[in-house]
Amino acid sequence: MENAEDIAASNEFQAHLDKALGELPEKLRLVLLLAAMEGHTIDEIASMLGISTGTVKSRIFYARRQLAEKLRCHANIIKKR
Amino acid sequence: MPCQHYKEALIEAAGSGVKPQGELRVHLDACASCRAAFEQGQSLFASIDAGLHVAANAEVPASLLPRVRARLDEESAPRRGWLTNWLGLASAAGVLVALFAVRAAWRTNVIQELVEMAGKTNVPTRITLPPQNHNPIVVRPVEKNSASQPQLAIDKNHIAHETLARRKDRAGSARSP
Repeated sequence: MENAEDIAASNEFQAHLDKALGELPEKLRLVLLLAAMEGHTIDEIASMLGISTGTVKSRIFYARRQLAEKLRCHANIIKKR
Repeated sequence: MPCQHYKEALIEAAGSGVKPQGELRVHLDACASCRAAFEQGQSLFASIDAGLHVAANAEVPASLLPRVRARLDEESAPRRGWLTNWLGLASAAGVLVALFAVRAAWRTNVIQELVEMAGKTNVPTRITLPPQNHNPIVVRPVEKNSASQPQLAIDKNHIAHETLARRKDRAGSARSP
């Protein structure tokens, strides 16, 4: 069970993540959020956006990488989660 | 600090979620600093994925739904009633009828003019109707009772006779050297 400190840390990291997500280019953010949604496969996202599955994969890769670079300084919060 | 040489490979391996292989695996076994950085990277990507799942599947606030519905009502096209639909169909039908009427009147005028022309010249005149009817019709003046009142008759078989005569001519010319 999470204690108050864990919840606070979780909320803090989520706030940083939301901010970093907002700073991503629109194309990367859209693909990443669609991939994170339940029930959306790579193929479905590709057909929804009219792009190839390879493009979807590379956008997800670059988006996650950019988020990791932005959130690396907040890695100390993760340990509390 | 991870070794600079393996920095990129560490990030990629942590982000992909697969176990490091080959040279990187060997280095991680030997370098505690890189191993710690790799584990931290794995933890970071796992947290990002979990946070993304939360962000993407967050429940829609109850206060948002009425606003969305209001916006959709504003932007949706006004619905047409049955009367408007019937008026539209009736208008389209009227336009079609008018087009056919104009076409029929035009065809009648063409025939009328050619018939008059044939009556004046006293020479059989070939009428070629618009594309709908490809068979030419020959009109020639015919005198019934009075010479001053020429009447017209349409000889539809004229073209058939003409064609037969042409065939005979061709056959005759083919036989002669």
